[in-house]
Amino acid sequence: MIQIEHLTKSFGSKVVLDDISATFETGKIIGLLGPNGAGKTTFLKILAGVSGDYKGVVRMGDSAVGPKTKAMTSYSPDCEYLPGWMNLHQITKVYSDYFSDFDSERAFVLAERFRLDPRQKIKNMSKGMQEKIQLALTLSRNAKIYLLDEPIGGVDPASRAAIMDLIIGEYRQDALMIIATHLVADIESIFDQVVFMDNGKISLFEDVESIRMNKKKSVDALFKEVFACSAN
Amino acid sequence: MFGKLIKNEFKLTGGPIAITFAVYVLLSAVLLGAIRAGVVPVLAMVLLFLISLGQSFVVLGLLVVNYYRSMSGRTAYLTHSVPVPPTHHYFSKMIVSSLYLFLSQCALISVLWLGYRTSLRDDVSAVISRLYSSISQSVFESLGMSGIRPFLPILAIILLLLSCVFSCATYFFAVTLGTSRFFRKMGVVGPIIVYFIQSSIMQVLVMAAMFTIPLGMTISVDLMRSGEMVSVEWVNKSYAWWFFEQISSTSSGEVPSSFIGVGAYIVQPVLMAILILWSIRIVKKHSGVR
Repeated sequence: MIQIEHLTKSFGSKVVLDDISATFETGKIIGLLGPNGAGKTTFLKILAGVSGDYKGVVRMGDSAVGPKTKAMTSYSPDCEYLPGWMNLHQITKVYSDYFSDFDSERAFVLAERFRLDPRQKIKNMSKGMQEKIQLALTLSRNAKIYLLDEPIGGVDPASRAAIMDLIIGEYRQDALMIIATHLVADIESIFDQVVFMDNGKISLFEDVESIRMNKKKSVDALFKEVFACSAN
Repeated sequence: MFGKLIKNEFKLTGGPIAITFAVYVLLSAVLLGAIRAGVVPVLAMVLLFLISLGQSFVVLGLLVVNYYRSMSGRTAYLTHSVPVPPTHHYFSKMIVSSLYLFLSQCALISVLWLGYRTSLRDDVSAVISRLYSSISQSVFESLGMSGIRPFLPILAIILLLLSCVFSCATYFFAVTLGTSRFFRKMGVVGPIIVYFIQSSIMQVLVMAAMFTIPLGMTISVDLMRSGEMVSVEWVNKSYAWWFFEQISSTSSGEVPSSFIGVGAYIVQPVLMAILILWSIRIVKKHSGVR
């Protein structure tokens, strides 16, 4: 589904992504894990088509990143990006205009599950509520690829379980979902595969089952082991 | 999809601009009423002029801030996720912003014209109208295009619209380059620095074109003349040539003339095209998204 060959991205002299090659298949939920500054956000931005000026090849299906791939990719960045003066009614109209695969009714159902008031302006919502509304909008698209950057970063622990249930509930087997996070313990149960990123490189790309069977560890334990070593 | 981008662009900026226009119309009506009634007319005229300028700056500010937020700020994540080529975003914003700016300028001109009609004595107003008519007639005659003079209002509208496009291109370029990775660390100062550098370079280029390109118009105005008060002549001279001719001239008693170097008006569209193409090039790379 996604083919990446020798992807390199730099900001000035700082190399953020360093010659990454990987293939991600449909029907998986993939955890993109790594410490802060590992390059996870930049990686997702490139896949989503909101960041260019990189070297290498990124293909989704048979297309390079562009309008065609954006039409099948639903992306939720790690910051609040919705116009603050809008409420859910207004933003769903914008989404319906822009994305042909957007299901407005589903957005309202998901917002209701999060107990969000559709008439409340986004700027008056808390950070956690804004993240929930962004997630509801992102998952309300019938996309082939979902890219979620820190979807549970700003929400309270009680809501994290609800978000995880939502992600599992809304996930379709004909789609690919990549979730970037450093809150591994909270979310590892939903991953099929994990990618460890460190200093712009992929240091591990493995099935979660294989990690548990062969290494006799949870993903969280392995994550702490790998990145504690790299920190030393 | 381009139509939907335009529609949503109108919605995004429409609310604050509508409020600005409403406040402007209300204040203008009060001030025009004061001028008509002769209540502190000079102060009212000055205030009318100031709020007209203020309205223009507020609208421009709203358009630039909207462009910044949706192309380089956080809303850019939504903007650049939309499945259209980046040029669609740029041109949809350019079209909508130019139209709003055009409306703002039309409102400004209309209100100031009403203010001038209300405040000036009829005889002074008649002289100004005659002067304006004479200038336009002479310009079109000198161009050999007297036939299109009736279309002067349409021509004025087109020129005003082009100047709005040029303004938007200038400010959008400052924001686009000023938020690209080279200036990103500077924050909001980046676009301001780019704007001043870009304005300075453009001023120099426009002045250079005016001074060196040998094409211009001399305009002589003689208010004492009973027939045509204005004479316009096209000359193959640059502003520099005309200027040196003027200071070296020893003749006296001639009707003073002024000179418009057409070179400036040749260079400006070229500069506008460069700014638009350069902005699009940066937007295509999305290097402004934080």
